[in-house]
Amino acid sequence: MFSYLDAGTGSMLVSILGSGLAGIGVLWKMARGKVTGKSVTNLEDASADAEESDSSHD
Amino acid sequence: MTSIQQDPGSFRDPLSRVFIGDGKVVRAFTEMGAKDIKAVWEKPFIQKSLASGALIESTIVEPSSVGLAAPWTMAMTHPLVPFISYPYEWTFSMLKDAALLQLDVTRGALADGIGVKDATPYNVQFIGSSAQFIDAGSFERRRKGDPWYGYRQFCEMFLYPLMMQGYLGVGFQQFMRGAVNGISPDTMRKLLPASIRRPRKGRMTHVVLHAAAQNRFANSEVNMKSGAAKAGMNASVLDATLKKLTGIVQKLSLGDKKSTWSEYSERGHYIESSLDEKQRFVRDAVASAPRKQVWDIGCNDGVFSRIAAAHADYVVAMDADPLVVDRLYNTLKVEQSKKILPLYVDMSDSGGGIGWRGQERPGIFDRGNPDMVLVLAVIHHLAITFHIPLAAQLDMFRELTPEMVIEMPHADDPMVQKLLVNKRAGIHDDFNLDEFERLLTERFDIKSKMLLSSGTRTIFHVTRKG
Repeated sequence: MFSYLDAGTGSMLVSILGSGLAGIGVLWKMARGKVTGKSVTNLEDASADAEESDSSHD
Repeated sequence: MTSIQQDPGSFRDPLSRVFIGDGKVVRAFTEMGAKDIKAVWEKPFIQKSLASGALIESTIVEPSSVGLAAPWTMAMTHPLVPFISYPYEWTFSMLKDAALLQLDVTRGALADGIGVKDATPYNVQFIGSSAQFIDAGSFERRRKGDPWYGYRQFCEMFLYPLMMQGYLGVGFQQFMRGAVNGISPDTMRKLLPASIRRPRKGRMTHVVLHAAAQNRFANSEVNMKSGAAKAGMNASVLDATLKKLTGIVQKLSLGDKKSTWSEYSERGHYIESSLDEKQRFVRDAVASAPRKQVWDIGCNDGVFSRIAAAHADYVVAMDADPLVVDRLYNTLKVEQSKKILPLYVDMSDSGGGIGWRGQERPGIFDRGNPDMVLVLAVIHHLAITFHIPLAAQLDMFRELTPEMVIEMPHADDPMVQKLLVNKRAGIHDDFNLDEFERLLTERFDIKSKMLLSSGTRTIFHVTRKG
């Protein structure tokens, strides 16, 4: 269940940045690969976990 | 019940389609779409939005009850919007109100665990001066880590057009009409240089960085969504983005507030009695029969639209000056008018459809059937400024409406003289009352006519021949 639109990688990053400090923190973690252990340019393999059927919203 | 037809503009979301017929709108969902909508439909945000009217009235029905079968597993009906209008016919204030509604809906939904699939002004319609969210199929269950899918679309179709007008003083309507998907970040970056001296809140992030990021990741196959979710991206981050965008949009204001006609009314040239008798004439004509929809072409400040609205179900008030229409919209909004829809329409450049096969967003003449049209202080502008022959104008009106009130300024009218002042002598000699009346009576029967007290204008109430 996803929107029919592609959020777009670049647009998605900027939408996170647009939130201000909280977003900068998220982008920092993504860039440092602290969560996945991989850099932002190599996150393909980390995709499966976020596709889980978690019915709760965050 | 099989008389409903698919709306040619409804195809972008593969999970639902809109059908129109039998005096209503039907939105049908595939099995996957139905699953989305059923998961969120009873949530407080949706129910509250339905109750307040922010979201269009929606009744869930069995597809078979409206003549639909597979692949449609769920359907809902909505009332018909009196007149469908598009963002390139809206003024700055209308697009701004639509943007704020889209942001408000997206934020409210987010707080209730609901995702909004897109962020296009085509989700919004105006009932008179009141904006309403009409895309009840936009909602789905939000999943952990979901980004705001509509962010880029919001920028391209709401934020950049508003910035264009607010920061550059350039009307967005021609751009929106020229590109059904709006203005790209890269185009906007080129249009909005750092050197502009006006305020430009939001430019760096939503224009410059947006364009740069799009270019940088144009060929990326990175699953950014997964990475963002793992890095802590959540609903509160999205809400902060939406809140900041709301602040940017709220601060955007109309730049240039003067235009050719916004500080000028042809009525200023009338002697008082001419205006009174013209109003009386229009009132008598409109009130002579029940009217469902009246179009007021060249509405200016809407004085004749208001007269028509007293005797008609709905009035579409059109003018070729967006600032004049913006002023009318804001006045009607204060009055909470739901009977007069103000639109920016240039009759000399209207009518064509746009989008896929030119049918996705039909032209203005394909969206309404006015049972009466008011054409006051218009035809001399079309004839002399835009060189549209009187015969061609009357042919168009004959196709458009069975009944009309039309004002013909004579060749010696001060405004006609003003329009002719720099024209080659003789090229508009056919713009005169006798020729007009000859052309008019070939196409219409005259019910009544009156020479206004000014002595330079005649007004006609006519019905279509045949």
